[in-house]
Amino acid sequence: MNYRVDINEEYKKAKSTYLKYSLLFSLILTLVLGADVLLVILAKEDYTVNLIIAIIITILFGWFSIFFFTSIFGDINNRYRYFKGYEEGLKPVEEIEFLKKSDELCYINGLYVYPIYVRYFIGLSVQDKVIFTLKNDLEYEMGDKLTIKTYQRILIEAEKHS
Amino acid sequence: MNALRKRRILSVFKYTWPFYIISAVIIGILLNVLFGVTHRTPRYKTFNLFVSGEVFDHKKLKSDILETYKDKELKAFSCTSVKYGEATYDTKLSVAGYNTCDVLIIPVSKLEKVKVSAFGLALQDELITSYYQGYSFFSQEEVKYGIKINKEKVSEYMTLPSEDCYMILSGKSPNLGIYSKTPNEERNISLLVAKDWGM
Repeated sequence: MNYRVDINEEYKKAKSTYLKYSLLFSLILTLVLGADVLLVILAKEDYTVNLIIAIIITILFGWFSIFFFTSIFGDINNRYRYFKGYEEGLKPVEEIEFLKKSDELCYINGLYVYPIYVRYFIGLSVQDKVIFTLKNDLEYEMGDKLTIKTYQRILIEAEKHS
Repeated sequence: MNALRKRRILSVFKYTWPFYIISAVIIGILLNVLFGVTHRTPRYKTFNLFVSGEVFDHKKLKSDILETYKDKELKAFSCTSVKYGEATYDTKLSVAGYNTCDVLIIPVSKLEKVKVSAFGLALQDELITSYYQGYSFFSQEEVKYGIKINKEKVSEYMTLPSEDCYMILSGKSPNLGIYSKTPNEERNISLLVAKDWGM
């Protein structure tokens, strides 16, 4: 029973989402700037109404931008960069013993992941550690011996010893 | 996922909330400046007056000026007044008077102490024939500069020094008709004000 994350597929999905949201933001930015320019051009001598409308639109857009870049796009960007850097990144292959998985969703390095508890055998010492999976779909049982490949502590591949 | 995302958004908001306030303030200021700059009343639609005396009914002076010259598209009026002899008189005359005012009402004793050609328009014969025939003028080095003010005509707005006062037309004013640096026959409010109040 093997586990494998299709990195190419995930990268494509992340890139597509990244581009889609970038385009969406650029579109909204263009619309808001366009509206502001129109309001400036069309304003008459008493421009109070136009000024108030422009201020409201621009402030709402400013707040949306802050929210967008710190929350929504921040996550999308982190996910995209994670898969983009996969080829060059360190991907250690190690022998472990599977202990248990958890349903508790965590946020690590910009990614939403699920923790799994594993035991490493390093020389004569034994270390219990937590690594993560992108999806909570592992079907291993406690005590299963696995050869795993991780990237930034996230499980990419696992192969159960026969 | 939703509960975690909500928690994360709230935790991000805890340290980003000042940006929401700062951005609102900056956007408000920038747009205000942008609208102000792009829709500023053109200089030729404003009339600035310098008075060496006390203007006691600024409101009436403003409304009368704007009403009288509304067909000239006059939109704004401002008046700088300072009593002649006050400590700040020379400073206000130099800073506001010489630089920004279209017409300066100055007493003769002050005019005799300054070089009027540095800021005032020399009144050529052609201009005098068109606007100020029969008026009294202040002359310096045989050049006419100021038009004598009829104090009775402005007595409902201001009190002027007891000595003779003259209206000097600022050479920088865009409201001098064909005598401005950018000549335009229609923009001659300075000339008309001096004509109305002169004697």
